[in-house]
Amino acid sequence: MNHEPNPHRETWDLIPWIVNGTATAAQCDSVEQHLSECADCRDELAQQQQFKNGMQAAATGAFDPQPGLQRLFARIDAEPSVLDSGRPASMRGGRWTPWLAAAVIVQAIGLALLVGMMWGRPAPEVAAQPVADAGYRTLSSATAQRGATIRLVVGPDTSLAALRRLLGEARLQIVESTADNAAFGLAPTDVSLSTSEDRTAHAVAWLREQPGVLLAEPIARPPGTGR
Amino acid sequence: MKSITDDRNPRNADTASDADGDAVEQLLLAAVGRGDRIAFERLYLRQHGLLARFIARHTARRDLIDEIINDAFWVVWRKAAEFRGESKVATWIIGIAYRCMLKALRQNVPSAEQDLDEGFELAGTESSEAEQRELSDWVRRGLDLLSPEQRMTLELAYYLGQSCDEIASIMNCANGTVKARLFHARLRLRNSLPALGGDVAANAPVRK
Ligand SMILES: [Zn+2]
Repeated sequence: MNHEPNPHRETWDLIPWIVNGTATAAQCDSVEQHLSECADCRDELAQQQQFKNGMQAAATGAFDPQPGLQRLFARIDAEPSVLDSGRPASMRGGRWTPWLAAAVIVQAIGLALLVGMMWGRPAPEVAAQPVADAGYRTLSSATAQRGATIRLVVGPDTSLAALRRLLGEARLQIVESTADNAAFGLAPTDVSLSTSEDRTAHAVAWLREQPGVLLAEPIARPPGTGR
Repeated sequence: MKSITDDRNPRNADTASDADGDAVEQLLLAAVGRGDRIAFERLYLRQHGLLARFIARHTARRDLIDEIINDAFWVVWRKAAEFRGESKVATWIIGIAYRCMLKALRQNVPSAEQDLDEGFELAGTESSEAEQRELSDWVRRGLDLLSPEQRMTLELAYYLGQSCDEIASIMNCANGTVKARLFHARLRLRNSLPALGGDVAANAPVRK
């Protein structure tokens, strides 16, 4: 609009940010210089200051946050899994490809956060339990029937690409995750190999050698399941 | 001589504590991203009062205020790990609450004129109750003169202390739109709202 400097208009525009304290020091300086010579802007500043004070004074009711917070925790608890919602239904129905699922998990929670979740909390989910136990949330009922054979936790610096490479080389896929995403359950990509305990032990040993792997262990399977 | 801008920058006076507050909230939010409920509760309690009073400016229904805050914090709980520090944590949460509020208000169109001050105590014990009442009546008359967008912009600026850029991001509009809304809002106030405790004549129409 104005190509020439117009201190009056510039000051007028800056007044709200002076009033709410978000103006920069340089803006404060330029406003102050103009205010010293412009009664109009001084009036405006005074009125806006008054208006802001009035707005803050008008609404200072006390709300008890606790009932709402408790309802919110109940709502969070009622949610089956952070991973399950927000994903297209097709990915819950077994049509997903293993890598797509892994990518979704990693993108959803951020690799850097995995390890932090691991420490400082009891690890009942990570104890040797049947994978169908409450601590694990299945990503897909179709793959859950196959069951995870290896539990994996990677370090915060492990990139998605690195994890992808790791699992690709081990011919493993993510089939489960703990509810808090602290650990992944892995299964072989080739179903025919899933019965081989030797192969599982070999894959675990190999994973433990890889940079970024904090934990790799076979998942104990109760007799008569998953075989 | 005392500088005219000296005592009107409460946030400048404690810029350090403002920055510290955001640093604390960044840590809390990062912990929430890892599923930490204690951090979540602390963040909720830090933001609840201001958000509740901000939303209360738009609806007098306590149940709706609760619902909006919980919808917003439900999103915070689920999206915390995706926060990349592109704004202050408070601004990020205000933006989420703003969208939840617009949605809730669209779905719950008030059937009658609401008394927004219902149930609220007036702040401050230093000035008399009558003065406080006069001030809040004056502000309400002023806000009534404005369009919904102008009122919202002013509330984000004066009530929640958000900067021009922050308001643009919360309202998902251009920086210039924020400036234009405030410009026209203030022109309206300047020309139509009598000065507090005075009359309209006390305010000369603004020079362009
Ligand atoms: Zn001026």
